Amino acid sequence: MFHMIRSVGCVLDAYDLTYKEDAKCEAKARNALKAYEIDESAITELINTNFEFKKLWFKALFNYCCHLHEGVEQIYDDASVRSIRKIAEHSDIVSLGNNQTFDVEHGAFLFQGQLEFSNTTQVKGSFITKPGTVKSLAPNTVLLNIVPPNRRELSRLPEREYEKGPSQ
Amino acid sequence: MVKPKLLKEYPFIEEEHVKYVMDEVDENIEYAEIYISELEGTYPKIIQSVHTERATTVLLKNKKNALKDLFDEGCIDEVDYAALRKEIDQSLVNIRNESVALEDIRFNEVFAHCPLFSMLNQEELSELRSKAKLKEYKKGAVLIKMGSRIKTAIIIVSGSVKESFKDDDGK
Repeated sequence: MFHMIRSVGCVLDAYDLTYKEDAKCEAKARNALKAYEIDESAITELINTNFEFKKLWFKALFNYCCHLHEGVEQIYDDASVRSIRKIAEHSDIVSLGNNQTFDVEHGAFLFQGQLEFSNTTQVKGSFITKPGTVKSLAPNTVLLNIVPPNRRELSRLPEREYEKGPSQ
Repeated sequence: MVKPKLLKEYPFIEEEHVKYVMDEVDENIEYAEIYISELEGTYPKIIQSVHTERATTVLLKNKKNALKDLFDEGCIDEVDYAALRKEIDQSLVNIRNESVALEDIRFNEVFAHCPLFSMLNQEELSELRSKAKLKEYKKGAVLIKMGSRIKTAIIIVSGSVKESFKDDDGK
């Protein structure tokens, strides 16, 4: 079990909303709260039309993706919630069309679409754990090109409330 | 002013108790004033709209009372009274409708401060607003049930939520 305390401005279970999957989480109000509920079509529209929004949206998903799909620790040895958040902040979201190629420097995570890497096909949820060229096999492939953050900077980060809770 | 009135109306209450209650009331008023002043700094448009709405409503209600006095005194006939009263009632309805615009201001203020949505332009925010509903939940209420299909993005406006995840192995 993996717990997170979500506060003002957070989107709940963005992962299952994005992939149209049944909720793999339970969300309970810790106190009286107000929340906006926005139809998923509005979010899909924004992801398709606003690349800046798409980048932030997928970066926000990364932490939970790392929990579901193992592999980040092969790219960056500190796989704590805090460092994964920092990796997402430093990394780039790359969108590739069919047959487009991209040079991965440190590693990557595939959010959607398909990739060819080292003569193997990578699907949604795969980590590319070594440098190399990837080729998109789908019209709308989205990946996180991982840029590990500076270690010293990482050690100065204040501990967040949710990281004090039960570990993953 | 409230204290002597309370003691007069309820002589069986001891003065010490009334003082205790009044101190608490004063403290709450102080906290409320601090809260309002902070809110004024963060969301000035909302405060301005609330003040304007309240002031206009009070003015219209006073106008309605004055009109009734004039009618009771025989200064205006029934037809004029009905027409003028209808006009005031319509203005009050219009103000209530204006509250919807106030909700829009609140929505924009909330989303402008949310990192994920802060880069959206006015057109995108309006589109988002048209597909958004503000909901209130009590402590302990379940916002997302495990295994259910999520069809809305839930964005917290106030309060906090505990999310518990399970992976495919149930861990």
